[in-house]
Amino acid sequence: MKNIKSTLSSLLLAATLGCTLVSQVHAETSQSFTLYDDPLLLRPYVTEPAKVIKLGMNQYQWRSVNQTPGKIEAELDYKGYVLRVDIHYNSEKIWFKAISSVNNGCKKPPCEVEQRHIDRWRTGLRRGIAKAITDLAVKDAYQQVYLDKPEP
Amino acid sequence: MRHQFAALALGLSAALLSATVSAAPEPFEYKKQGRGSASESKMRGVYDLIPNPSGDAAKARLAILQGMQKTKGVAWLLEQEGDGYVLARWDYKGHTIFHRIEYNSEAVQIKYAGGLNEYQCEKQVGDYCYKTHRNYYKYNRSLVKQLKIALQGL
Repeated sequence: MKNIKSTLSSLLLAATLGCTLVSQVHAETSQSFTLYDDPLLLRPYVTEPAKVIKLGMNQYQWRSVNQTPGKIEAELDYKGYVLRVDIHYNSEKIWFKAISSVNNGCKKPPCEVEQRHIDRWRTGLRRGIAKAITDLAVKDAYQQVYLDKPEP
Repeated sequence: MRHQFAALALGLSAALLSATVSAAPEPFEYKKQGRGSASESKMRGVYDLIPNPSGDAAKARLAILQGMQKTKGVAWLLEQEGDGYVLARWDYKGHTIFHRIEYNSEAVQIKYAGGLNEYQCEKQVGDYCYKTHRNYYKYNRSLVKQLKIALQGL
């Protein structure tokens, strides 16, 4: 009787642990996202994160004002609006940190930048980098299908 | 003691297996949600299984990455990827859709992973969104079409 009880307890404990794991999987598959603050997770085929960042920046008229290992200080200077974002990177991810946003084109500068402009420009920056990563992913996928075939 | 350990191991294995199995293409079962929810045809237009004629998961991945960039208008971009799935993102005028496109050697399937602003889901059941902006179901026809074309082309 004692053995049955303790076996049943163990099964119950395992089921509870298992449910927690399953819900974790589902939680991971139902993430919450932000417009541009989430990190971009990198796969091994992204061997030069700084390169994809710069490709993305170029696409949307951002420029690098300073670069140190693991960080690119990016600036957008457009019609009097100046945005600065630090783009951090390592082999596993790229992530963003807003530094400043200023409107020098108003009557009494500096003024605030409207959030909708910030949203558009920062989303553009992120999409530019994501596009460069997507292109690398396609190359990697092509290589896996056509070039890495095992010998018969 | 041995029995307890065996029971624990068995229970954990079963649970882990079910956790693994849940992240793969699966036949879409429409569940009527009531007023304001998308119709079955609209839901199936997005979430039905897309057959993978190549029988190769690596080819499915390539087709997804190629196809998602060829949609009408704005392209889908890679947000992240993992074993058996691509998390794709679509942005339009401040509104965003995230899809987890799952694949294996047999099929490809779009699943709703999230949305911002107009494309947040008001009624999500599992991996499927039954109620969001009406254009969601229209715009995704292009994604499904390009995935099918890309899969056929491999």
